[in-house]
Formats: sequence, C-alpha cells, structure tokens
Amino acid sequence: MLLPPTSSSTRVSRRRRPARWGSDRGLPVYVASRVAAVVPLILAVTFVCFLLVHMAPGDAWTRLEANPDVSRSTLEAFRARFGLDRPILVQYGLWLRNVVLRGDFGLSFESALPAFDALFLSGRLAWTVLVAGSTMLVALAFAIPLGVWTAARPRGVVDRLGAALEFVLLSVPAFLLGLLLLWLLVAVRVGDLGLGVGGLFDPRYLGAPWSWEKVGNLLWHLWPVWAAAGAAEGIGWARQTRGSLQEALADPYVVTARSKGLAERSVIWKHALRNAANPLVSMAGLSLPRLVSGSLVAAVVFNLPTVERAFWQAVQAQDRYVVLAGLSFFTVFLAVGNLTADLLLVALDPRIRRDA
Amino acid sequence: MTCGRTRTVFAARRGATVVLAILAAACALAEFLAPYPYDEQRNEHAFSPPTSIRFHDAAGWSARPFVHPFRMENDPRTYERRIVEDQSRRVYLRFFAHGAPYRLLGVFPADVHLFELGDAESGARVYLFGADALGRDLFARVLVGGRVSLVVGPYVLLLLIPLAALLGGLSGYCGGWIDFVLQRLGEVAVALPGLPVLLVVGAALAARHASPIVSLAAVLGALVAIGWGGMARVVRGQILSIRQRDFILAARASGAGHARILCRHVLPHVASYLAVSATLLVPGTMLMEASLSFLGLGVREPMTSWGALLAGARSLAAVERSPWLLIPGGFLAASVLAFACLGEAVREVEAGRASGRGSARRSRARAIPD
Amino acid sequence: MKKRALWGSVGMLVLLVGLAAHGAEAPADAKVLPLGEAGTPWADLKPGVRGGTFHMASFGNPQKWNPITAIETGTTVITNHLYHGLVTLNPLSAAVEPALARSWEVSDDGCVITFRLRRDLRWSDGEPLTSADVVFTFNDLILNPDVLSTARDSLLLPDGTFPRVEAIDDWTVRVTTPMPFRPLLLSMGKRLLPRHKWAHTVRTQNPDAESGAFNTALGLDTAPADVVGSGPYVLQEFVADQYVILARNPYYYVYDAQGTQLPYYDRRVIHIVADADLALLQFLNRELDALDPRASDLAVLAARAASEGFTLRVDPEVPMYGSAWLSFNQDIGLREGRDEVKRALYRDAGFRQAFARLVDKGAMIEAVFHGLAVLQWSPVSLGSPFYAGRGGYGSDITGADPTGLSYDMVLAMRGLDDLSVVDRDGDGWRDLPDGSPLEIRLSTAAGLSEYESECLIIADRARLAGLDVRFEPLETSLMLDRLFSGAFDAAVLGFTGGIDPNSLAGVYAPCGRLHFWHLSGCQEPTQTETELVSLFARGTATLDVNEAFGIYQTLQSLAARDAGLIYTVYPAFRYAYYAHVGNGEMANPNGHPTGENALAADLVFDTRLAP
Repeated sequence: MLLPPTSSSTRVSRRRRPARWGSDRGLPVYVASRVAAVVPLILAVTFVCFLLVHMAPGDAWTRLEANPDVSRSTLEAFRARFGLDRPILVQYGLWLRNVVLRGDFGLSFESALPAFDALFLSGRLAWTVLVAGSTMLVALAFAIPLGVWTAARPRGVVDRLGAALEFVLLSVPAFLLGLLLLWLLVAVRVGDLGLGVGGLFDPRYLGAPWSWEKVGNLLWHLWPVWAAAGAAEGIGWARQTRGSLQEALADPYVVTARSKGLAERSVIWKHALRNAANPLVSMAGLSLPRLVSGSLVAAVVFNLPTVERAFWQAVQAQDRYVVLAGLSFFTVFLAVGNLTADLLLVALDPRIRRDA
Repeated sequence: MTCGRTRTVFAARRGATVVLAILAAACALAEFLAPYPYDEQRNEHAFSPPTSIRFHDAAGWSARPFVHPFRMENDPRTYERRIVEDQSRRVYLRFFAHGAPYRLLGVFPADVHLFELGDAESGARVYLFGADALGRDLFARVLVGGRVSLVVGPYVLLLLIPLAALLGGLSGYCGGWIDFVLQRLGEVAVALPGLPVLLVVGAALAARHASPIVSLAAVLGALVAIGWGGMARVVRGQILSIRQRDFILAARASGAGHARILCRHVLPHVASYLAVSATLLVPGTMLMEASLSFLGLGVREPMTSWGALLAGARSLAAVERSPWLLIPGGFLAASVLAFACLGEAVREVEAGRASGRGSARRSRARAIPD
Repeated sequence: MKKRALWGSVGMLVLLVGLAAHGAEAPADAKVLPLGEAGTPWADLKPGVRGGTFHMASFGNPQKWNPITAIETGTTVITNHLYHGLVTLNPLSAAVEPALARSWEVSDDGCVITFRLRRDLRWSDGEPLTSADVVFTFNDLILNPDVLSTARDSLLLPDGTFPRVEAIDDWTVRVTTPMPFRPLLLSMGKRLLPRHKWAHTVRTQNPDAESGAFNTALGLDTAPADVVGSGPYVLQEFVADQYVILARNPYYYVYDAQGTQLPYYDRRVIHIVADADLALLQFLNRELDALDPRASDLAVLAARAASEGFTLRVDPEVPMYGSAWLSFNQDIGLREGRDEVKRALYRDAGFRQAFARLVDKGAMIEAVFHGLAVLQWSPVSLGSPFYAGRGGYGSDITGADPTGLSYDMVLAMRGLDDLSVVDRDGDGWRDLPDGSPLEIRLSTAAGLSEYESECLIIADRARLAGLDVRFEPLETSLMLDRLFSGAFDAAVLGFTGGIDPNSLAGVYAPCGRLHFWHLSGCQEPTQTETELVSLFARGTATLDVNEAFGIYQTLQSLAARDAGLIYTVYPAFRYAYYAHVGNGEMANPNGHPTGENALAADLVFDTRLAP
C-alpha cells in the first residue's frame, strides 16, 4: 500500500527478483524452499500482530465477564485455553496452538460467538474471495488490452486519456470514488429500473434461490465495487503494461521479428507480451496490499458481507480476537499471493530460472 | 542540454509549486486569515451557506465590501434550513482588524485578523466557506485542517526515506549477518497487511485516550514501519549491483574509507530511486490519511484534517443541501495533484539525468579503446 | 374494570356472530381485528391482502433472540416480531387490548386478575400454548433471580414481593397480589416463551441445569428452528451486519375481519444499517419500504416525497415516548481503586447540577434537529399521562422545566467554583478540588450522528466553562458493554419509553437491571436513591390515578434534581414510507403512538398485490 503505483514515465526498473535460494540445486527445490519460507514469515507477522492487538487497553477477561451472553463455563474454558492470565509470549503460543490444531481463534466480545464464526461464516469468506478475485481479474482484463492498445498507438487519443485518467485516479481516494458512484446511481434513479445500490444483492434477492437473474443482479452490484477498489490499480497496470511493452517492442529481437515480416499482431502478442508479462506479474504481486486496502474501503462504503467488513466492525468494537483473526487472514492472503507471484515469475521467465 | 531541460520542466510545473506554497502559507497563518477560531460553535448558524460579500445592494454601491446580518430558519414545510438576511442593514468588513486573540504560528500572541466584521455587537458573521453542522466556520477549519493534511506527506517522507536508505544501505553494503537480519525484518514489514494494521493501531491509540496529534503521528509512524521494507529491498538491490563494480573496487584498492565510498559513489546511485519514490509517496500518504480520517480512525475531534472534514459531507443530504461542505475535497484534490505534478517533474528530471548518464557512459566507453 | 372485561367478552361474542354470518375461516378463538369497520378503534385502517416482502432498516446488530434479557433496541426490534404476551396496547388508542389472552376479569379490590387464554393457541413449532407456558415465563424466567430479566423490576410490589402467578387449568391463569398494584394488568403483558423449549435451562425446572444457563440461551448461535414464539413472524435467517429475515408464523392467532390470517406480508427483511447515509440512499432507491430518518435527512425527503411516491410524516404533536440523557459514572475508578476525588465529585449532586446547566438544549433543538425536538427534563415520556409537565393526569402539557437547571453558563461556572473545581495549575482547565487535573471523557454510540452532535455541543459549552471534556465515540456494542459494567466516564444515550412510569423502576433502582450509573448503590444506596425506590413503590400501590400522578410528580422532580440522568432533548415523530405500504403509519417499529406495541407489524400490507 505504501509503495506507490509506478507511472509510465518512470524509468527506474521496478522488477522484483525473487529471493535466491540454493542456486545450484534446481527448480523443484527452489519452489519447495520458497513455500517453506512462507511459514516462518507468517509466524513472525502474526506474532507482531498479536502484540499490536494487545496494545489496546482492557483485558479480555473483564470484557467477557461483564457480558451476560457468555456463560461462566465458557468463560473459564476460554481463559484456560488462551492463558489470559499468563505472560504475553505464552499467550501467543497458546493462541497459535489453538489456531493450528483446532481452528479456534478465540471468542468475539461483541457476539459471544467464536471469532472464526464472526469473521468467516455466513458466506463471508466466499464473498471475500469472489470480490477480491473478481476485482483483480476485471482490472487485469481492462489493463492488458488497454496497455497493448496504447503501446501500439503511443500519443494517440486513448493514450492521452489513459495518462490523464491515471493522474486523476491517483488523487481521488477510493472511498470518495465509491461515494460518488453511489450518489450518481441514486441521482440517475436506477431504482426505477429495479436496480439497487450498496450490498451485493437487491433486497428482493436476499434469501432467494440462485437464478440467472440473481447472478446478473450480483454483477450489477459488483461493478461499482470493481470501480472503487480496482480502478486505480487497473489504470496503473495498463500504464505499466504500456511502458514495458514499449521497451520490449524496441528490443532488437522484436526488430528482427518485424523485419522477418511477421504480422504486427503476432509480434506484439507472442513475443513482446510474453516479455512484458514478467513486470506485470511483479506488479500484480506488489499491488496485493493495495487490493486488500481497496476492498476494505469498498466493503465499508458499500456494506458488503465480506471478511473485511466484519474486520472493520471488530476493530471499532475493540473485539480483540476477531481483529487478530482478520489480521492473520490478510497476512496469509498476502503471503500466498506473493508466493504465487514469485512462482509465476519463475515459471514465466527462463532467465530467473537459470539464475535460481 | 540536461540543465536546459530541467529549467523547462520546472517552469512548466511552477504552478504546482506556487499552489503548494500558497496553501502552506495560508494554513500556517490560519488564525490570522480566518476571522473566527476553527472550533468555535455557533449552533444557531448550523449549515449556513457561504456569506455573500457584497459591494452593492438596494441602497446603492459601496466602495467597501459588506455583508448583511442573517439568521438561519427552519422551514416548517420543507424542513429546509434557509438563510434569512436582514437586507436593511450593512455590516462592513474591516481588514487587519482586531478580533479573537490567538497565537501566530503557535508562538506569538496576536489578535489581528485579515478581515473581520466591524460591528461585533450586531451578531453578524461572515462565513467565507459557510458553516458546518455545528455552526463552525468552514474557512477556518479548512485552513487548520490543511496543517495536518499538508504535513503528513512530508512527515512520512522525512521518516521513511532516511530509514529505508540507511537500512537498505547497511544491508546491501555490509552483507553478512546484518544483511540477513535486516532482510528478514524487511520481509516481515512487507508482509504486514498495511491498512488493516493502521486501523488497529489507530483504534488502539484511540482506546488509550492518546491525544489526536500523538495518535496521528503514531499511525503515520506505523505507516513508515510497514513501508520501509519494500523500499529498503530495492535500495539493497541497487547497492548490491554496484558493490562489485570496477570503480568501487578501484576506490577500495586506492585505500578510500567506507564512508567516503558510500557518499561519493554509492549514495548518488540510489538517490535517484529514492527521489522518485519520495515524489510518489507524498500523494499516496495524503490520500491514506484522508481515508483514515474519513473512516474515523485517523485524526479525531477536536483536531481536523481535510479527510475528516469530508466525513461531514458524506451524506446525500449534505451534498444536496450544503454543497459547500465539499470544499475540503477540492483542497485535497488540488494539493494531491500539485504534489503529483511536482513528482512528475522530479521523475522526468531524474529520467533525463539517467539517460544523460547512460549516454555519457556510452560516450566514455567509446572514448576509451584504441 | 370488570365492566371493561365484560365488554371485551361481549364484544368478542358479537364479532364472532358477525363473522359466522360472513362465513369467515378464522378459528373460533382467534383475535380478530375489524380493520376499516366504522365505530371501532380500527376504523382508520384498511384490510389488506397477503403476500410480498417488507423491507425495513434497523441500526445495530441484534445481540440475541431472548426477549427476557434483551436490553437494547437492535435486539428488541426483532424480538417484538417473534413473541407476544397476554395483553398489548392498541396501536391507535393506546388502550389495553387482549392478545394471547382472550379476556380477563379483575377482582373488585384489584388484587386478582384472572386471564382466560384463547383456545387452540399454538407456538410457531406447532406445540400447544397453554397456561403452563404463562406460568413458566413468569415464575421461572422473569421472576427467577437467576435470570437477568429486565421486566422483574417493573413487577416489584410495594412490599418487596412479586405477584403470584398460577395456572387454574390449561386455559386459565390467575395472578394474585397481596395489595393493589396499579400497573398489574399491563405488566402481565410481557412476552411469553415456550416451556417445552427452555425448561431445561432453569434450575427450578431442571435441577441439573447450569446456574444462569437461560441468560445465554437464545443467543445468536441458536438455530432458527429453535427460536419458537407466538408472534407474527419467525426467524428465518440472520447474517451479522447485513440482515435478518423473518418469515410468516403459520400458527399466528390474529386474523382480520375478512378471515385473512395476519400478518399480511409473507416476509420481513430487517436490513442492519451501520451507515444511516447508505440507508437513506437505499430508501430513495426504493430498496427499503420505510425509513426512520434523521432530522438532517428530512429536507431531502420532503423535496422528493411527492414525485417519488412516498409519505413523509413529521408530527411534532404526536406524543413521544422515550428519553435521551447524559450521565456521569458515579462509580468511576471504584473497581480499579483509583480516581477517588473524581468519583467523589461525580457523586456530588451539586456537580451534576452545575454540569446540567451547561447543556444547551435550545442549541441542540436548533442545530441538530432543525427545530423538530422538545426539551426534556423528566424521566417520564412526554406522551405519558403521568408526565409531570401536565396539569393533571392525562391533561394538557402546561409547565416548562421546573427543575431550575436550564442552560446558564454563569450559574454553571459559579457552581463549579463553589465546588472548588477551579484552575489551579494555570493550564486553562479546571482541576479537581485536590489540584489534580480533571479530564472528562464523554462517549456515545458512534454512528448515531444525532447523539454525536449533542455530545459535541455539550463538550463545546463545557470547554468554554473551563472543563476539559473530550469526546470519544465508541462502537455501539462497546458503548453498551461499558455502560452496563460501569466502565465509562460520561455518556450520552437514550431509552425507549412507555405509558407507565413504573417501567422506569428498573432504571432508577440501584439494584435494577437497567441501572448503570451507580452500580455500587445496590449495596450502599444514597438517600435520594432510597427515596426514589420508595416513591416508585408508592406510585404503584394506589389505584387512584390522580393520587399516583401526584406521587410521580414528586418522583420526577426528585429524579431530575438528583441529575443521575441529565435529560437533553427528544425528537419529534418522523417516519417515511412508500405509498405501496398499506396502513403505512403502522410501519414504524418504535410504535405510534404508544411506544413499542405488538400489533402494528401485522397491519401493513403491499397495496400492489391484487386482492
């Protein structure tokens, strides 16, 4: 999130190289070692998150004791399982053990239910994956063709529009974009067409069985989310694709391909794009934190039934264990995403494979 | 050739610099420029629109600007809040007049304001940008809020760049176990989910009853703590790539100390990258602070920032009935664009310098053989 | 009262005969609402058709499905749809109506009420509803000391005992009190729970039950099929922070005069709203059928009402039930063993009174509610016939604020000076009498923008008077947790209200379930608290409403001057609903005009459905 989007005009190479491990031992070992490296990383990060979450004052015991919805036996069992009266390091160890062995993330102070339920159940996990995944895919689906088009026709109308749009989207925060979309939709009275704003479905589809209309309604509710959460990403990728594609197109072998008489489209798509894929994957990997923050903001503005929304609610309610579960979820999401990006890079780029 | 290009680039971007300079000066002098304190409530003037400053009314023209005293009325039928001016009276503006006391720049006690209403007893008020839901002067609030919004970018910059440069530099230059430890720390920092962690830090500080300034500074500090990892990694990579270069080895062979090598050869190399990153940081940080404050976990009452002011404008009712509440959004957009403009300029300069360096190297290379 | 019961039975007989003549399908003992029939209290409403889904919004997640222990409106807005009691209030006339009870007889001395249940009543799972359930609900749940019931305090008799509830036969319940208890009839209207589902959670029925097991029963993890009630709807689905879906109860006992079983709407979806701005947008977009708007939304709604086809009702004349207040925690720091001086200050009525003079209610009415609110000083709702601002029981409201604690900065500051709360260290803020700094943290539930604005106005005036007041909004469930565990500093919130002041007994009694600002008063009550408790008792002991009015007058003045709760302002009635909602004025879950009432939810219908 802090690392800003690269602009087409930057000439500084932002290619990420995956960490080098066991350079002489071949690809499968590399993959295995990368996967294995993720585990201590996640442990370290969850430990930091554990400490952060305990920065807030007030201890779990007092909070839960005062809650009449929690039975005494549940409370005692909780205290024993999570070591509420033990030192913080021991508490972390116990928490880790409970999570790994039993999937028990603790209790929610707000609802007196297990933290896992509060965060992931009622379909939240599925919706989160759907929203985040679709945002990324749609952004890519827009970015790549746009990038290719503007690379092939530099300084054209579309290119200039793209540059201007990038500039504008850079200065409009995601929440404002979301709000503007909401106001726009209500102003043009989509309600008259029977279309809703906010949430994932129109009220009439809640609890209704799946049908094609319901899917269509879902897409209608999703597009403002894609716009708010993914527009800045998408336009950045488009410009990056344009930049790296232009570089690739200027390469000698492409010149050779052109002079060989290959069709322009073939040149672009087959040769140049494959080489531009590397920075694109890197960039996608780098954008994952922004995807998380964008979907969090979108979840709050549009009131989506996702993990991010439940996390936001828990942060406000100082619901410690739910917050921790949420942070762990985002951490794992990011780590797995980065790992996938790294492995994709290796798969795509023979040069890195050789180096590794 | 490069220098000339630089001048042109900066000339073209002069507008951005001017805008930012004016904004910064205005925000620093907020108490002087605004007639009222930013937190003074006049509940009877809630949602009052920007006061019309006139030179002409039914009684004729006037050389001096004036306003009509007004009151706000609730229409019993439409529930609108309307302004009702007393057009029979004029209250003239006075410039450099005495008004509510304050401390200029927080230090110098003063009570002179740029403009005030001459007739304090009439109860007339001049709200340049209108008033908010509690009757506070939006003009004063925008200027005071700008202090926070304009400072967050440079603040993060001044913390992050040196930190990333130092840690990345150490990591790349020293190698060994320092490199290992710093790399691992960097990985952890990069793996922390950004916005969620900031939300947690913000909420924890609010729960600890930290003052709004401390709270914001700490949240931004957390931003730095998360962000240094990625930058340090790139710095490290760059330093690694030149550590083995001939001219470094030559310098070492000639007995130059580490510090000298660092300053003369290594740092300029990474300075380019750092400069470019810096320019991209500021707009991003400003928007991040605006988002956090809008969500209620950045700046809190009684402090304010442009993002927090926008939170008061988030309802349809506000936008339709009181659109002046969106003015802080304009300021935010303008300053973010200005910073982005400046950033663009710096990047183009760096790009020019890089290609210039490259061409110089190439020309040098050509000059050497034979 | 006996005559009224007689009228009730005769009236029912007449109606039944009339229905028989129409060939209606309503079961013999059903409750029939003659909607639209002239000469009845229901004349202004229209009969409707079944079908459709009603969409409404509610602020805040429900915390449980348990009506006995529920304390906040996010929960009760749901449980009011799920459970009914023996009697309820007519939503139009505010008279007592039979609900699950068909009729009742009151003895001449008022100490015995015999309720006759309707025959063939069934719970939503098909099990029969009998007097055993009534007895179970009262004896084993509400009056059980193990259960954290909110209703127990309002059933406390003047001598400290509780009414005796017994089943005479399967369809008859007798309630006996040793002395007259004026609110007895209405107090018996508490919502009933099924014995066959919950007997195992209380020790009085099941010796092996864990102590207090019922307090955690009917939590959010309960399967919808286990949430069994006798109200118009049953729980179908709940997704936290999103919605609650209620489906029609097939065994509901209320019918209209045409023989149609109520409720008219097949489903009710209660959208859980965290953001009132989004709710407004969704209402304008026709996704919600009704909306409870904020004062700041009214202009937007009024401008569109005619063109969009919805009604915006804003009625300052409608009597209002409820309260909004500011409170100081008189037990602050007690559990941690610190802040003794601050605690002593908060416990000093003089401080609270001085602070009450800093509450600028006029500014709140003007700025926050755009003039559509009234000043409050008394705990009793303005709509109640016992409100002390009236000339007598049920008379018109005449008096203004008699407490003498209206907004006055000068008097407030003088009061603070008299208490030695002055600035000793020269930092511009007043300090505690011992010289240590005084910091007041004022909280409310975040997202309730009207409360938040009230807090900001209070903080502003207090700061002008030299008190360092910091505003700290808290998330709703956190705020409620802090409030009822005595872990707050100063708070602004509100209660729903009702007709009978006795419902406040649990608020002002230090041992009461709804009391929160002086929890240690349960062991060591102040003199005022003891006096208030005795006044509540005396107020129920007389059947003469005029005598009760006098007692409650004294009670209200005493409570207001003690300033345990400093009342602020209460908004006028406002509600918006689309034209396609038939009987739309009944759609407001907070009831109109009687506060929470049980029947209104049944009466709305979709006018777009073909009859």
